[in-house]
Order: sequence, then C-alpha cells, then structure tokens
Amino acid sequence: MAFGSKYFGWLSAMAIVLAAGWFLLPAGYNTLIQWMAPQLGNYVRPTLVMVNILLVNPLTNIVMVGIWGAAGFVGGILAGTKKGAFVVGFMTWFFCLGLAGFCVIQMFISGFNLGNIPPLPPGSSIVDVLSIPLIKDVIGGILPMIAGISGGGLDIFSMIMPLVLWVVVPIVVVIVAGIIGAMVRPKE
Amino acid sequence: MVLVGFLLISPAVAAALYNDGYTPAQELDINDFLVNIIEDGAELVFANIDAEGAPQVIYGQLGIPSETLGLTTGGSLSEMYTGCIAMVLVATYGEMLEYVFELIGTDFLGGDSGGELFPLQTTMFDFNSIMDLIGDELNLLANVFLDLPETTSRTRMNQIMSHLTVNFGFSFSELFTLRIDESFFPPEMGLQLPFQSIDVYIHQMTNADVIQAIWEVMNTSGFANAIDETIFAGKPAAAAGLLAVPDMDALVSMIEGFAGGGGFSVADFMTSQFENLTLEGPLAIAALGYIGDQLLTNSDTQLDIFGDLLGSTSSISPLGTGQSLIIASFPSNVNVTSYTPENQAQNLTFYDNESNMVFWNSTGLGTQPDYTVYFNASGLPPMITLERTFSPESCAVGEFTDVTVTVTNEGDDPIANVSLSDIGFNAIYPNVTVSGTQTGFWPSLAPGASQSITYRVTFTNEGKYTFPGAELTYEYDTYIFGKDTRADGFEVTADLVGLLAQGIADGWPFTGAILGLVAVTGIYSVLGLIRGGGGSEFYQT
Repeated sequence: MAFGSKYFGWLSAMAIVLAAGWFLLPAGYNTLIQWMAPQLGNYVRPTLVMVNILLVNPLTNIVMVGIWGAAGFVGGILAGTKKGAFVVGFMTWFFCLGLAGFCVIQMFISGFNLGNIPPLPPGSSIVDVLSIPLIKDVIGGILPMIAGISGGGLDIFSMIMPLVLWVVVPIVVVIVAGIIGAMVRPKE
Repeated sequence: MVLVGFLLISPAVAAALYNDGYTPAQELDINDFLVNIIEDGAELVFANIDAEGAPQVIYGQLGIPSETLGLTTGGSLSEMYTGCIAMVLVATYGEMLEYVFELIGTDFLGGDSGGELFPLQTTMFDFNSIMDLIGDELNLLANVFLDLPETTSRTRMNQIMSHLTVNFGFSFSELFTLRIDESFFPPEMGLQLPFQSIDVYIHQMTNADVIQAIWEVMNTSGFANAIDETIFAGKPAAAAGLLAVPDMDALVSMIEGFAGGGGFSVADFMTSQFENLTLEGPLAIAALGYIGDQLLTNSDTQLDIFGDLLGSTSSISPLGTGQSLIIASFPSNVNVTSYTPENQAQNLTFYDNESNMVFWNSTGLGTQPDYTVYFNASGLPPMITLERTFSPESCAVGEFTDVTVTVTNEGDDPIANVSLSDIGFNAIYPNVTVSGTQTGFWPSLAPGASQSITYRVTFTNEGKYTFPGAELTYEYDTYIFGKDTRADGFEVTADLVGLLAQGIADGWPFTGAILGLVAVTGIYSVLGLIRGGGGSEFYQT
C-alpha cells in the first residue's frame, strides 16, 4: 500500500503545482505570452508556466514558494513517510522538469519563427514584461555585474549562483514541506 | 511624455515672450519673468490643430503642485521627502509616445527640416522599432534619494507611496531598486564617488486611471478650475507626467558635487544670470495632454479653446499668483481672422501670422468666458471618419475574425481619390492566414456616403495580435490628406484542452507511453486500495 500512497501523493502534488502554476501565472508573463505567442507558437505559454514553476526566487516569488510548499505538504500527507515524502517531492519536481523540457523542444519544433519580433500589443508596455519576477531578478543581478565588467572582470560564479539557487529552492521547499506533511499525518 | 512637450514648449514660450514685438506686459524684464514663474508658478495651455483638423492639447503647471502632494509641511521640507532629490511620475495611453518622438524628430511646431533627433532617427536608430518594444501604456514612478542609509530611503519611499495611495488613489508594484555606492563597484577600480550613495526606486503604477490620479496631484486653481479632466480619457492618445524636486537646494548641491566642486557653483551661476532667484524649496512640473480625432472641418469658423478642447462650461480665471498663458497654433490651411479676448494694444495678446499662433497673457486679461479664435477653414477637409471593427471582437485558437474598415464622409462636400489600405498586419505576421480585400480605391466619396473593405484573419496561435492603423488618403480642394485608425489589439485566447491534445499528439509515442505508465500505475494503486479494504487502511503498509 505504500506504493499507492506515494502515487496519489505525487499525482496530487503534480495537480497542485500545474494547476496553480497555470492559473496563478504573474500578469507580466501573460503580456509576454500575448506578445510572443503569435510568432513562437502555442507552446510559449506552457513553457513559461514551467519556467515560472521551476525557477523560483524565494524573495520575489513568494506565491510560487507557497504553491510548492502546499504541493509538498499534501504529497507528504498522502505519502505518509519521510522517505515517501522525499520521493514524492523529488518526482514532482523531476516530472515538472521533464514537462518543461518537452515544452521547450515542442516550441522549437512546431513553428518557432524568429523572423520578426512583433510589436508589443496595444494596451501594454515593456514595463509589464519587466514586472515578471524572474526578469526583475535577472536585471537586478545584471546591474552590479555591469559595474564589475567595467572594473575589469566578469564574475561567472556570481552570474550562475542565483540561477542555481532559484533551481534548488523548489526542490528543497517541496521536499521539506512533504516531510512536514508526513510528520503531521504519518502512516499508522 | 507630456512633460517633454511642456519642457520643450516652455522655453519656446519664454523665447517668444522675449521678443520686442510682443511681451505679456509692458516693461517686462525676462529675468523677472523667469524668476516669477519659478518662484510663483505658471500654467500653460497649448493647443495645436493639425492640417486634418485634429487637436493636440497640453495643459501644464510649473512650480505649483497641490499642497496635498506633501512636499512641505508647515513651510519646511516634509520628512518623507528629505533626501529625495527627484520624483517622476509618467503615464501614457494610446500612441502618445510615438507621437512625441515624431514631434521631436520630424516636425516640431510646424517645421519641415526635422528636429534635433532627426539625424539620429535616420542614421542610428529606428524609432519605430524601439517604440514597438516599448509599447504604448507606460506608467512609472521613479524616485531618487541621495546620501541616505538604505533602510531610511526605503522607509521614506514607502511613506511617499502610502501618501500617494491614500491621497490620490495610486497603487504601485515595485519594479527595480538600485543602490549605487562604493560597494557597487569592484574595489580594484578605486573609484571615488562624489556622493555617499544614491538609491533609485522604480515602481509601476497599477491603478486603472493613472492620468486621473496625476490630475489630482495638480493645483486646482487657475485654468485647472475650469478644465474638465475627463476630457483626457477616451482620446486616441493621452499622457500625464509630474516631475517634483522636493528641495532645489539639495539638487543644486548634488550637481555641484558631480562637477567636482572646482570653483563652479550652479547656485552662483543661476543667481548671476537671474537676480533675485533663490534656488531653494520645492519645485514641480506637472502636465497632461491628449491627441484627439478630427474636430475642425471646412465648415467651422471658430474654436473655443476651453469649451471645445478642454470641456469647460464655466468662465476661465488665471492663477491668483503666478503666470497663466495660452497658446493656440493653427495649420497653414486655416486662415485666422480674429480672436477674443484681444488686447494687442497693451501687449496682452499677440498673433504671429508666420507661425499662425495666437498668444494670450491670461494673467493680464483676468477672468474670461473663453478664449476664442475665428478663422476661415475652407482649406480643412470635411469631417471624414475612419473606423475599424472586428467580428467577433476576440476568438479562440483555430477561429477567425472578420475585419471591416469603413470610411465615411460626414461633411457637406465630396472628396476624391479615396484610397484605403489595411495591410500592416501582414507585414508583422506573415504566417497568419488572411483572405479578402485589404485595400480599396474609390474615385470619389459623396457627402454622407461610406465605403468599406472587409477581410478575414484565421488564427492558429494564441496571443494578442497588433493590427497597425489602417491608412486612408484622399484629395480635397487639390490637397492630399491622410488619416489613420489607431492600432488595435486582437486577443486570441488559449485553449487548454486543445493544447493538451496537441501536446499529446506532438509528443507521440513518448507522451502515450508516459501517460500509459501513469494510468497503469493508477489502476494498480486503486486496485491495491480496494484489496486493502478501502480508505480505512489507506495508511497501512
């Protein structure tokens, strides 16, 4: 029966992450999708949904941290053991990663066209796109690096570290929340 | 961007006023005039009518923000603005940004040789491409703090935003913060900054009607008392802006610090140029503007500046203290015959027949029912309307919309050689299927008559598609006129079920194998639950 509980834990966690990721996509992403999808195809939205799900800055994207936490907690409750919660959490993140890879590949295969960058749709501006948490974080990180370049060197480590952190955050959050869930309602 | 226009126009006005042929009051000294408008405030209405009879209107205030803005408290600088060097609010709607760049770059105030930026446009930058990437609704708040601890500047920034929210209805979303101090730069640079720190806070203004909120910030005396601010809404393009310098002295000190302090003093320089000028205390410039559809036609003979362009229904009073000015500019195909009030004898009004501009010194003229220009507009075209409709107004992926562009002659005279074109969409989205008629030509269009073109666009991808303005050209009285619709956005909504089906089909057979594995595992799990006795033993191992 342990297998069954992990399965439903994983299924529930996946459903929570994907549904919340889809429907709670930050407004800036919608502007970006509406702008780029006519040229890049219908896989732009799922790709950006997965990017928003998988790259999480805990300081600026607290909503996604909460979603991962909720998914892990529910998955952990259903898994019922710490080990099971770990497996559920990791598999949830891993399937999301696979889904993101699939979307990116499909975006390139099906009608990816960089011939023209269309104008931003009427009623929106580049500010909407810049309000995307991930883009804000990237620009916030780039500005000091520009100063570093003018000082004579580009610190690759400082460029990569935030990305690594953002990748790690969902895994840690979902597993820790899962273990907490398993502790809250352990198997009898 | 209206600020840009206001800042560009203000010196032009000042320069015009410093002409021996015209001064707003006799014995005017330009130094006193500039000192007065900086210290006492000024307001300006600038109305321009283009060759098609469409108005562009700016109302701006200098140095007289509303007390409610809270730059000062009890005559001294408010604590929340202490250390704040400048605050900028900018809001644009419609194609205002594009218009301003065109104005600066190609034909400012009627010239034909191009503005200061014209060479850059033709040789270095494609402003249309830049505009495509900027978009048309830009709502930003930017604040700069000097030499404050980061926690203090952030606290004051929050206080300012809270004040703006409570008093004027703004709402904000943080975009960027940037702190520049010596730690910002690598130590090996050995950089000596002329300041301890600069904190820049940039926020997006997210309330629905930012232009209205900026209007609330402005001083409501003078012209503003008569203007109906709702006139700015619903126009093809509108903008509002505010630049506030809470403490001029602090700004001047900062500039002197940047200059290195080697004997150069901005304050001394300004004082030497303008006696009695004190660069202290707060200063603000606020402006609103809009670009309208065709208003004047060949049958019109007068224009009330406030009644027709600014929605005023009451008398117009100038500022109690400070300078109130009005400028109305007309195209060369409008022959200005007279204007009221008129007081050229005392140099309170002036008409420049070269630029076809009328100036009023409203401060000298006092309260007036309106400011009216009379003209012979036989050179203007009749009222021609151009409309584009979509049926349906939005659709889902795989569906289509029918686009209809209609030109109507609502005037009393026929127009000739009517040419209509709506092909801009194809250039942006060459892979989207378009069928039907996208261009049309008619030798003449009688009064009251309409002509249309209709085409169908079928969408395979979601998104918000940009339809650039449909272009109309026609001939009237041997002159060629042109008109565009505004750019429209057409939304094609995502289809979640369709996307899932498409994803499964696109990834077949791998997606089938994964889904099969998930399904089999699910069935196995359910069977296990059933064998185990149901939910009561769910947690048993």
